[in-house]
Amino acid sequence: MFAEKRDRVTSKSGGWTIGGEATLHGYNIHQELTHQTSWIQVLLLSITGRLYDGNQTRLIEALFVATGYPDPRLWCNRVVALAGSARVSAGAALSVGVASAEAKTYGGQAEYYAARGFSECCRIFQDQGEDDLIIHMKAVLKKERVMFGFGRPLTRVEERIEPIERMAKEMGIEDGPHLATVKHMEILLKRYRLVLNFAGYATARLLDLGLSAHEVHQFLTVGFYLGLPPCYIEAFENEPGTFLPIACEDILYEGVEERELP
Amino acid sequence: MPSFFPPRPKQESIRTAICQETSSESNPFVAKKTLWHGYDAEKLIANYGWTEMLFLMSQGELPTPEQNQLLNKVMSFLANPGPRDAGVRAAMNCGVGKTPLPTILTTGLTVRGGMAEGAMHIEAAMRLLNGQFGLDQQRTSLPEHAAQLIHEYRMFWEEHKNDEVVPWPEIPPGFGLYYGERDSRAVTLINLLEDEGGNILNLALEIESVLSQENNPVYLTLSGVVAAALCELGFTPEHGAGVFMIAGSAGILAHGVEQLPRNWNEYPFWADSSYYNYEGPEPAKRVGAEE
Repeated sequence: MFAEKRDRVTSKSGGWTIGGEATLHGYNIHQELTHQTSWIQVLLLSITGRLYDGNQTRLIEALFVATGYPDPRLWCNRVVALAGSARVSAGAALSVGVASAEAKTYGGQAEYYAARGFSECCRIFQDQGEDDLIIHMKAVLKKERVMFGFGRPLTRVEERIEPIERMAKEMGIEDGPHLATVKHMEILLKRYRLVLNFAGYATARLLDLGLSAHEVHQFLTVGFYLGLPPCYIEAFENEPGTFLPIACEDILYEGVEERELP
Repeated sequence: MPSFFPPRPKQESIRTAICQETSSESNPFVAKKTLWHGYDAEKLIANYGWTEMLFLMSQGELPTPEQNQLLNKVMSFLANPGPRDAGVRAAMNCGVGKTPLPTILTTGLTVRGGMAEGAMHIEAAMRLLNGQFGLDQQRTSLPEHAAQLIHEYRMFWEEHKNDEVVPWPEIPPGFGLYYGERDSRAVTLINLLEDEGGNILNLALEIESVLSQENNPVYLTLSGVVAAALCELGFTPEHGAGVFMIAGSAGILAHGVEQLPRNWNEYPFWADSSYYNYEGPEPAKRVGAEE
């Protein structure tokens, strides 16, 4: 296997002929994609191999806009603000912002878990009905103590969903089976005071477009991206080290008392 | 000006059990004294070396001389993964492209973090050896313990193989083949460790004796031996993964920086079209003609 691959690059997705054509999943990039598609359409194409229509992708693009909060208190934003304050270069700073958002707590990993969980819930709801869905959800909650895609830190209000819902209605885009299922789940989870969070909502919409759990995860990697540059730039332009400086006494030390070397 | 962040009484703090800094009288941001796990940092620096600091930071206590020797030996063995290693190659790519210097190193380290032979694999192998893939059961003998750990991992893999964004390996982590054959690096490191590897390396060897007799035999890999040594030293799997990354940083840095003064055409692009195999669909699709 290794000898066969030696000195050989293979690709099913595309490539570039030096001085000639560039292709992506069967499309000529310059003759077809450049002037007829949007960045988000081609991002989805690059991940799934499928070109979605402009209407659907316009709604998906809006998901990224709706969650691009330039607030440096949010974890991935804070990472880039610290990088800016430390005068890190833009590429390095923004890439660590993206990488840091791949978190289990309300980040990229949670979206993957949600995608897997929603697929199973949707299958049960469609095939077996509400009673079996309730049994399944109770079992998940008992085992995992969480329902990925539901719940939010600090607040139980999710302000990002309503504008997208309004857009979808105006554009005539109906709920697919996954979104219909999670909306039903939200009603059932009311007694646990768990609201559908934005990552869960985005995940359900992407599942309805036919993305797999891995594809959802890969696509949403840049989901928080819009919030990063403002946090980086502002901290970069300010005096170095002045982003949320911490005095010695601000750290709560909870370790062992001072001791002598052995 | 809108006030998004009004002043408020301090209610939230960063907590740590590792480092305590006492500020100087004149400036609350400047530390006049620093303790690491209770020891005066200045005294530590005067009396101990870097691997001892690494051990202390991760475990809260200084290593014994024997532990420090073992850690040094393992980290030295890993110091240069070599120019064929994925992480090192990533750093070299950055170097020849004149990527900002810090990114050369962090790029190499990121690639070194993966599940295939990387830090995630070390973490998984340490979990296996620690018995973290199953229930903590009483074992009466080493062979029984080894067989139980293999069984537990396989049960775990069946149930959870696709649960994470990076899937768990099918073969118990720390075991396998290296370019299709027994990993000679693992054998070399075992020989270098002599009897320093301790009980956990013996357990790993016992697992190897079971797996090497199966229909598709596999053996201890370098990752497995490193994982055993790091478990023996008392590192958690999370710390162990990091120690593995740090150890390779010497070679990543050196190889990456070595490429910096070179021209782009001194590093191969594999430009000859015979090197490139396109195996996808004919690039004849039309926008708007999707099914």
